[in-house]
Amino acid sequence: MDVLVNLPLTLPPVVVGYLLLLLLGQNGPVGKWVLQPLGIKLIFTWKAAVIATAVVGFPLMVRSIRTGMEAIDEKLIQASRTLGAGWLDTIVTVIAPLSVRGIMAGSILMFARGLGEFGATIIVAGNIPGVTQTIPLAIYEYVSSPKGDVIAMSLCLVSITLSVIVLIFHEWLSRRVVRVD
Amino acid sequence: MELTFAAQKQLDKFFLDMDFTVEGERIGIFGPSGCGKSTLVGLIAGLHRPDSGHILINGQPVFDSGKKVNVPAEHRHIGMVFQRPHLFPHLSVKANLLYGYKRCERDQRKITLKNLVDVLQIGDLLNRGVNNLSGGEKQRVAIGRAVLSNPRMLIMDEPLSALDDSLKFQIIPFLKKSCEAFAIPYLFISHSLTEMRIMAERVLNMTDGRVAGLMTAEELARSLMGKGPAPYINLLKLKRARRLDGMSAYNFGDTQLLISGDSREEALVELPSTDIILFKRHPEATSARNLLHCRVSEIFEAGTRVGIELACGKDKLVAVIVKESVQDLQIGKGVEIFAAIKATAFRPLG
Repeated sequence: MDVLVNLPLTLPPVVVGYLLLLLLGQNGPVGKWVLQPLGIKLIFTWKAAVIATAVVGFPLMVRSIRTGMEAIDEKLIQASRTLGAGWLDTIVTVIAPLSVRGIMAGSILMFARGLGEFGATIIVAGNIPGVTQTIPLAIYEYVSSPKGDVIAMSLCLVSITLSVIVLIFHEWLSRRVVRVD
Repeated sequence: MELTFAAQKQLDKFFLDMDFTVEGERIGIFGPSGCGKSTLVGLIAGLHRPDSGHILINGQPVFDSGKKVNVPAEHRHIGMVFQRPHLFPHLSVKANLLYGYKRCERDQRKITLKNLVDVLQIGDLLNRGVNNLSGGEKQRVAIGRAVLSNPRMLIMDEPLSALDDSLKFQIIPFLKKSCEAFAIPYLFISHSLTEMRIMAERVLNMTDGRVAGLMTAEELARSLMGKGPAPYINLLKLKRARRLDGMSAYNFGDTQLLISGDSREEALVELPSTDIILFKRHPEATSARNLLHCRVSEIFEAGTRVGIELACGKDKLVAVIVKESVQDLQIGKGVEIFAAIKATAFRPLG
């Protein structure tokens, strides 16, 4: 399970994208047996871009949350249980709130990874302007075309601005989570 | 409270195999570090599962491998106070206190927040976060949190060992007061003989995951006499202090004790048994400020030495002397004797 969750982290994103294409495509097991009967089309839609980004970024989130949870003192969980809280109650009232920093850090990492995602997205969602074109795909297209440098640079600035906003937001949230009286 | 434990647990190279029944409201579990005390309480509280056997509390099984009974920790109604406070850092003091209370069935809620706050004197802490409380305040809140869950029994797993001496003796009255005020029986776990004598009436002595004996705290203290370098310590609860000759005078039996230091209405002091000098006849003069006329009420072996229990009216002291001194002083049960103690030999606790 551990290997399966972490695999997208080490595999080249193009490989992840290709595997997703095989899985979700019209002739893939999920595409053919699950999606088609339900009338859902994923490949080359924005939904495929979201799935590709999520799969590639997911291990970062899992690892971050796991690190956060492993840092929780086991005695707090024991205290909660002897105070009458069952497992689910303990997860909701003790483990989850104490893992908030890990969850946040993981979400931000996943989001940041998603901003830069290229390989898997282009395989499963293509590069359709206005439909599945993400910032990295657009930058790639403008850099490849003559006189596209200015727009590519503008998109780079948008990318940098988004990243800075995300990091500031992360820092602000971290400070709010740590209770200071 | 009656606790029956007959269970086994294998943990790596350590094997716990205990079989005992103990009755009482203030039960101690004593043993050196690593003898399995915390494993035992984990099994009783339901935090670990025994490999086999049964555990009964007041006759009700909380674990029975034969009948496939294993009541989860959250349904055992056993409150725990740990070595460190382990308060929930994301909750306020009040929310910590109410954590167990809210999860207790309404008809079981006999102890209320107001009553508890009065006993533990934590009213002014309620709306604070737990991260900026002092060590003593945190441990008081931890006691309160366990008590307010309205448990049928409280387990205190070395709750004083992480505190320094002065803090320790500030917390002890709160521990005792909260259990007495709300009539909660408790298991007190410690490797400190002094703590055991203050907190427990019946003591289960453990060694290497097995029962070494079940006795009173005083019997335990006397059984350990002569087995280590530390002497037997007399623990004296003294009352009604007054100032006399620059010292504190406390009533003791049919006489009084003069002790160096501040006067308190009530004081718990310790006196090493080796600091008591015995005289067969009244010494005409001595530098010791206390000369007690006592009667020998008991003589017992204490390793290579002899313990002499001295009765001064209703109160008693134990002195330890070598066997040759017993012969020289011709000490026997009922013999009248004089005991000299320096005022500086007493050490106030807390």
